[in-house]
Amino acid sequence: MSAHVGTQSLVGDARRRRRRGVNGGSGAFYAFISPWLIGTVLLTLFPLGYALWISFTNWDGISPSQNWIGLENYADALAEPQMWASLQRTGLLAIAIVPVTICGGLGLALLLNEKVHWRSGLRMLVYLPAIVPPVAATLTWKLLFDRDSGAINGFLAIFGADAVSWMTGNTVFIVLIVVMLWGIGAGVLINLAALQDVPAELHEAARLDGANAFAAFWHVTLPSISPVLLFQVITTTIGVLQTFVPALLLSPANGAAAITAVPEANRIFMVDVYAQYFAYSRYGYASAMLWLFFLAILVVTVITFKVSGRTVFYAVDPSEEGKKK
Amino acid sequence: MNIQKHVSRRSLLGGAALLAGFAATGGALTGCSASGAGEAAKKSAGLTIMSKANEITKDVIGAWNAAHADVPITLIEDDPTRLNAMLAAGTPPDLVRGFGATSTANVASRGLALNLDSYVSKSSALNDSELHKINDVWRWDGKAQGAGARFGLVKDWSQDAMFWYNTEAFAAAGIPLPTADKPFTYDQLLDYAGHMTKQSGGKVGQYGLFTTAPTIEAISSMLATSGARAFNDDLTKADFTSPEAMRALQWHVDVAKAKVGYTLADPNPDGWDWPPFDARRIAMAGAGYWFGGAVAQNPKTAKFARLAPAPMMGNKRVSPTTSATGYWISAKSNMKDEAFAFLEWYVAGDQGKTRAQSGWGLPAVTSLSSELPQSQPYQADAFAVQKNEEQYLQVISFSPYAQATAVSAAIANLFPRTVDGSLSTAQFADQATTAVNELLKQGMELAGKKG
Repeated sequence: MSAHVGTQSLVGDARRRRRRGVNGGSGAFYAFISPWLIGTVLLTLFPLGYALWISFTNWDGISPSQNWIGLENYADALAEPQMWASLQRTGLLAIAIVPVTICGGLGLALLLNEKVHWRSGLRMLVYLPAIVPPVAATLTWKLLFDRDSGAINGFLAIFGADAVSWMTGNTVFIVLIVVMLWGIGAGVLINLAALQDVPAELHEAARLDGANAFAAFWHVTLPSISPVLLFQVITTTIGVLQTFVPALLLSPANGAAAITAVPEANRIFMVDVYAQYFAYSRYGYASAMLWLFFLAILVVTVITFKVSGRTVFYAVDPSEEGKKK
Repeated sequence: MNIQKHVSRRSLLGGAALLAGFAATGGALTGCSASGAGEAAKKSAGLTIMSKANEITKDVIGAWNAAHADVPITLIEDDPTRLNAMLAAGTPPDLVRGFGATSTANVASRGLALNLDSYVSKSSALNDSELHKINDVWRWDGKAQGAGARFGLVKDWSQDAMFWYNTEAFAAAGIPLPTADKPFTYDQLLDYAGHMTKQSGGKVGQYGLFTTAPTIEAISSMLATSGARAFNDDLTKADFTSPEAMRALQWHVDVAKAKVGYTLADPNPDGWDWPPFDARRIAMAGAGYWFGGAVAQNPKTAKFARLAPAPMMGNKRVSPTTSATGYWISAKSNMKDEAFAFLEWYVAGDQGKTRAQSGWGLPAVTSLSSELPQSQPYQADAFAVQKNEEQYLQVISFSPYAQATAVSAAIANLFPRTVDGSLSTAQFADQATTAVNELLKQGMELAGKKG
């Protein structure tokens, strides 16, 4: 009996402690996260839900009324060749940008991680383009590629080449790629930080085992920084898929006319979405496009994670991290 | 303290729901308070104007605030996206800048703009006898533009199919100068532009023609000279497959293929014609009288710049306005009286007089016409050409079921493929008709009409 009373008392104490914990500890927890949570609800979840609602209507953005049309916008988008063309261009852009950004960033980081003269200055020079405002960088490139007065054509003229109309036709896609690769220095910084975090004793052990530089890189450095590389692959891919500003800035027109003047070669997905919203006033259709794109990015991200499971090395298993030993 | 172990998934979700509810309730409460004390709060906030900072300048705002301290101005930079958002939220600006030629039907038929008739009938500065007939572009009778109630007022205007030309470029190419009474045809323009275009090594030294684009405004202006129209009588359908419309489209394609001016296939890097015209990189600039304000900035350019009448595609002389920039007052404004008072002050008062004297457009009230600049030769010439041109002014009705930018974008989308030969002009016309009619159909559905 007394044992039973004792057990009851312990259980009661535990419940009281748990209640106190919930009321006290979680209160502080929610107080700390509330700015983020309120921001997420108001600035992310609500707009997402609103865009989802609009995607089922034919709203034009200005009319006081909107009609429910079900999945018609989704069906239209999937049947629209222009949407598939813009998706294809976006995919091409990702294929052109992501590998070069990741590999180039890593290569530069490896070079800048060596003990070379002027290392700090070189690091600063490589990183400098990443801190130039994208608008300034893009407009500068636009001037450099100008057909009639740009430096690129001036350089080509030295070799007797005719001026190239870089900003029209398919060549403007090359300009877009150049503009986007200009900011490769941001990845260099992340890779440098990761490289400096690789335990020196691992390299020492590899050297003692007779590994040459490439073998040490392949078997020690690369696995050690693979989680950082995965992070870059995912964020760069998502960033490239959502590219909008450089393509818009490379438009030959300014102001409200800029979006419709974007050359066809640069009509990537987000440009198409923006045009549907604000040039064609097809808010419902554009919202449907965005939701389809969201699903596509989700699929790409999941595939990347699945593939990376076999290639990324974690010093601590992420599924085990944080668990009580 | 280890907070993490005290938070279960259930309590996390519960807390999140509580916060979300709080946030939503907070939003609702904010809405309640806004609607409750709305009018008083709005009045104290003053007039909200959506316009361009280079038009409603700090000086303009300062002058207004000095005379109307109780109605301060808040300027919102002209931004169609933001306007849509403000309309959707039910809090539009009190005054909105717009192009009367293409936005009247749209904002009037949707009930967004205030009917100004009662204000105009009582106004001493902006009454029917004072207002220039250009203000008719802001009239809408439910079926067509040009008649019915007034839903906005022009601030300055021009006949936008006119163009400016470089007399020296014309003389160098041996081309006769256009005169006020005998406009060029579009075919002549194309031919003359070819003679004045200078290219070498893939670089363009000078284009002969002004920047062109097959916008709905440009096509409508061309069609008007043939007595034709892009829209049907009730403005519910567009047709670009008529012989006249096909001819207008073909002209734009010919210009792009001939490479005698900036087009959508070879866009103007400056975005408008003043910089290349001033730098003698184009021999013609596509703009009406207002361009004289820019010409005044450079005495060298003022020596060779002259204004020409609107070219003709057919035999009927028509010189429309495709903008008639002005303002409409929001039907939901709490400051309608103050907004109209601002229009009186800005359009017909000292501000209007100053603008007229600058040459940046023609005044919207007849009493200010005498203020237009005529001291320099180019100004006197432009004044005379403009005075003659005014008799050919015509209001071209635009459909209320789509926005002009959307219609023009639908046409522009097909243009590069026509220029590179992927589409024939007939296919261009056919597909443009389909695309624009799809937009009109959507607009009609929203207006509760069957397409």
